[in-house]
Amino acid sequence: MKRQFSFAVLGLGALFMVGCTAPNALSTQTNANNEMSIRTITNNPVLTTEVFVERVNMSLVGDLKRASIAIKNRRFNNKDFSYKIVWVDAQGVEVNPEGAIWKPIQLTGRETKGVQSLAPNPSAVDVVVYLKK
Amino acid sequence: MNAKLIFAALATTTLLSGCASTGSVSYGDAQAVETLTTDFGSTDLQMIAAKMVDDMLMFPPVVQMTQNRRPVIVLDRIHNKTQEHIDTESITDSIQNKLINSGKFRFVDMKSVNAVAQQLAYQKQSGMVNQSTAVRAGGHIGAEFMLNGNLSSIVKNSGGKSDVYYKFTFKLQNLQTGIVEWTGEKEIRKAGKRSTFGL
Repeated sequence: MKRQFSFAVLGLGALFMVGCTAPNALSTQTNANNEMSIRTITNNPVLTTEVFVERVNMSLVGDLKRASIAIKNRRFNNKDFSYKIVWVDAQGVEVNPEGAIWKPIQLTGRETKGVQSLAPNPSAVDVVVYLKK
Repeated sequence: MNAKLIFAALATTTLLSGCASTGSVSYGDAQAVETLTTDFGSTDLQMIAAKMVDDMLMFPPVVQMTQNRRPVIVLDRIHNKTQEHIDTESITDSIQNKLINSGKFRFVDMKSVNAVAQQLAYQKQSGMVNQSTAVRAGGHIGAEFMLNGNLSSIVKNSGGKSDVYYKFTFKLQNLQTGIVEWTGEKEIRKAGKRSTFGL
């Protein structure tokens, strides 16, 4: 019984620590017919209850892609998060990974805020959006 | 019992060696959000550069202008109107880097003009360079556009709280006509609170 309790405490502790750090991600994949599919990677279930990417739209600006992303705060109070948008090419390889920066974003209760990112060059076609606290 | 002790000792040694560090120095993520103080920081610089480049490349006349050619730009300086000492050249360097790598613009570098002139003189006059391989003077391309801007701030302090507002404005000017073809603006607000004991 004691052992089970210890494991439970350890498990909760680990979950709590992951809840503070691990980012969630959303990636787009555009196929040859220009159809886009979205995949979410939930590393942090606690964060998912607070913030998520509500919408991703892709458009073309000349020969560069532009991603318009809506980030929503699920809670009723103000929250501070960070997000990072990484562009990848058609093969799924990151384009200039060190050029992608974490940006702070403040969301009031239940607010949805739009952010945009322009592809660093024409080879970038898809995005991976990371969200963390 | 002995076996258990040996196992425990081994496990502890492994754990401790796994945690061994090389002192108090560690590498951090250069792209992480930095909120140590309200002073101008790396995150501000990175956000400004990203916003200016994205805004400029998304502006329809600029999109049209760069569709079939790569216009040449010269970077002027950013006027630092804040009370802080800020290396504004670092901001323009980041912007130049992103614009060149977008494949949309080319740049002429006025900072290296003297070094280039020295090298050309060496090639032409030193007698040490094979003249069939020497670079001919007079082939530089004149810039069509100039980029420059301002960085200003408003700082307010009250009751241990501080509020800093930065405004960065940037403009692309046609050197032939003098027309400002594009302007971009990025605002940043940072708030800080002094710790209870002023430490």
